[in-house]
Amino acid sequence: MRQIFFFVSLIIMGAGLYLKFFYDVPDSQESINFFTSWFFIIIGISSLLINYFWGPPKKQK
Amino acid sequence: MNKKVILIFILTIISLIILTLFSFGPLSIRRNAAGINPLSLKPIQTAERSNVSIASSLYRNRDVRENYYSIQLPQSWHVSAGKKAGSYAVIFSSGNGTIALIDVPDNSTLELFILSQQEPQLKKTVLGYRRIDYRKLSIQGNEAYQLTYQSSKNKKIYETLKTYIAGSDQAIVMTFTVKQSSFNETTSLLNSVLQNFRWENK
Repeated sequence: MRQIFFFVSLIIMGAGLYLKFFYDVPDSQESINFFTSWFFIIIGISSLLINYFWGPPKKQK
Repeated sequence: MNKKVILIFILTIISLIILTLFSFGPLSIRRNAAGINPLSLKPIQTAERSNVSIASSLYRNRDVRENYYSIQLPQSWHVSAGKKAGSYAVIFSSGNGTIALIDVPDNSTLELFILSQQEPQLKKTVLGYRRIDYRKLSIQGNEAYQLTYQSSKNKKIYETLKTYIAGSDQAIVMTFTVKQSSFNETTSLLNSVLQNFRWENK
């Protein structure tokens, strides 16, 4: 389950980076592109971090 | 849920609120205005046009990266910043005009873009639109297309010379509108302005 969540987070972040750096934004849609790309990047990074830190604390030996 | 996850969640919410303000809220105006370089409005050199012999000023536009350009405009013209970064609005004795960057989609060519999107848009928005001429040009070695059309406003007839010049990233569109009665005598001046356009990062 955590692996699926990890890959979905990567895809979301990748989509954000694509929209930010590679997508040819039509005139007058810069604001929407700015919002959408950063939205995906932020959600993707925080999902990856949540995925990393989620779960019970590791027991110390 | 541990503390780190809660902290990340809160930070994400805060980031999204800031992002919304920067995209659509009051901070978006500051983000858009930052693109206009005040130096673009300062003429940096004067020159005498050889073919029309009118004193002109050279404007170097540095507003949009990868789309730097220079243009010589007659000194008698009133030049101001346009609505968007990389654009000018000009007023001269017989009419007015705009010089602006335009983004052509990657999946289209400049000519296809003009004929399939720009001209149909003009037909819808310009009162009394009638195409007079359409031709392919070469301006300083750049592919260019010139659309001449007629329009009417307040029972007066105007003629517009709209020229698209392809660039490596965006294209430039120069639109000059003059009264029909003085169109022929202004054409040579307008064409000399067009011929003095240069992309600077090509």
